[in-house]
Amino acid sequence: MKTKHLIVIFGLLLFQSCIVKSLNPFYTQDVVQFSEDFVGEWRDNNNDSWKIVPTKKEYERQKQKEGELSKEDKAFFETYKNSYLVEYSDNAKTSYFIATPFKINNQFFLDFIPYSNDGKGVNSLLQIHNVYAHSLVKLDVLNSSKISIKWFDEKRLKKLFDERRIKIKHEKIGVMKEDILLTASSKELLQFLKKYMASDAAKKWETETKFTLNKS
Amino acid sequence: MNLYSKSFHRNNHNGMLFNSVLWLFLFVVLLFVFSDFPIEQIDLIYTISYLVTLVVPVVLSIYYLIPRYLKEGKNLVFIILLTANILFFYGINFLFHNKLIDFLFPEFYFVSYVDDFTSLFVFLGVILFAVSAKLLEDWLYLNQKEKTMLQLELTALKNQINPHFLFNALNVLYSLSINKKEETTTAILNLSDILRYVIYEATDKKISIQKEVELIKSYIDFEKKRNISDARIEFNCKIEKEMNIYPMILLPLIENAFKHGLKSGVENPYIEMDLSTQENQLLFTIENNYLPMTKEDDHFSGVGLENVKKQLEILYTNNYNFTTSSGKEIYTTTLSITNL
Repeated sequence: MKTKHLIVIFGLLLFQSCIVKSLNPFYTQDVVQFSEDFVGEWRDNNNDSWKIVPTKKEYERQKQKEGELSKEDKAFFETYKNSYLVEYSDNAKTSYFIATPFKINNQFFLDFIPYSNDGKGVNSLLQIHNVYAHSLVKLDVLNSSKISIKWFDEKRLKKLFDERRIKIKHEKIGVMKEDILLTASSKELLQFLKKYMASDAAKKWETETKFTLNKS
Repeated sequence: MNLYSKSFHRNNHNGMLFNSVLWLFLFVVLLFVFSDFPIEQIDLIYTISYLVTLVVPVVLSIYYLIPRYLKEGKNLVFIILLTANILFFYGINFLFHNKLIDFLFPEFYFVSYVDDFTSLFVFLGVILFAVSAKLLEDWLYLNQKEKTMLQLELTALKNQINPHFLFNALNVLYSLSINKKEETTTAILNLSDILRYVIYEATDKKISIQKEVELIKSYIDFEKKRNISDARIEFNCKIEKEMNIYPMILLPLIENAFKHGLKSGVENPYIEMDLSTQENQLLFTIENNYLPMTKEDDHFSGVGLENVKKQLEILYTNNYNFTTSSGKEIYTTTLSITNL
């Protein structure tokens, strides 16, 4: 059933878990802060590969390779000039994401949005139904060769809704309207995130979708 | 007067009542603006806290800026200060409201209520509404106050007329009794009827014109009992349409004609009175002869006539015409009332 959801993230296992999805980015430009710590090639606990490249570097590479870039490509690289291109590969499939780093109160986060995939395992009819959504990742540098990435779990947000302690723009999506898609503006999302960070809720970052990446 | 004023103030210009209604209304409206249904506790908290940030600018606008500038005719200063007031307190709300409620209610997430632009319009709308409501309330209060003042003035005028009439009537009785006339007893009965009318029926409410005619006839009978056998008194009445008029408007005019005409000692005294009604109009004319005496005793000096003029002004403001004219020995009074 999950594959029929509006938010279909290429059948990747990690996105079959319930994470908080948003129509708008979780950051505003003023909090974006590039960090080299995430750059490099990594392997997670499942031995899947994560290749992280700064978009600036990719821009230069494309420029050298193809000469003058198209207007659309230039606009793309300008929009995501402080982001990363993330290439995630398991044994069967490879998917691409744009991850934009931002920092709030000394805590790094990544805003993830799917960018492309290799087309394997997803037929074209399914693909044209896809709506890409942003997700929020808490990034912790454990040491120079080990980082932790944790997606913001939808259970945490659903709990706030169930307890009627939150007013934030959202829509119920899915065949049975069982999932939440945040439609709040980036400014509002940031406002929420700041307060959520300051809250003393236990297990606030506990999630099923988490990886520890080791530099390979 | 003071008692009336105080009572009126208490009932109709009650700041507590005005503010209760105003703030309750604003609370309900903002709750609808801010909430999705069903209304939750978080919506109530947000609405109340938002409303609190509006208290100072609203109070400042309606209790300081309006009386100090708008009512003093300083309209431009009022508009400038009102705008500054709205912008300043909107700025306070913008800077501190969310921070404050986040601090006071850490377990709630007030994220998607109003954006900055909408919030400015909410501020503008609420304060302008409060100012308008206050101006409307003041206008209604002043209107009612003016009406009450007019009623009080009317009552005061009637209170002046009645003793005036009684005083004249007692003079008549006195002259009858001193001559030991037989008509004295029936005159007393006549007077009793007239007084009943004057005291109990001559209130602020309109009465049938027929009643006023009966009173006039009783009064003429009463006056005829005096030694005025050579006098010609005619009262022609042609009521085509029944209508209601305020009491004690016509009688003082007749009383005036008797007092200054017949009793002036003029030879071959007469009084001709014509009362007619047509459609929505009443026309009443009195013509009498008189003997001009001292200036103080002329027709115009009577308390009765002056009171009638004041009453007419209050009761039939733009719908009456009252004129008097005096020739050598002839005095004419004409009263027409329209839109009855």
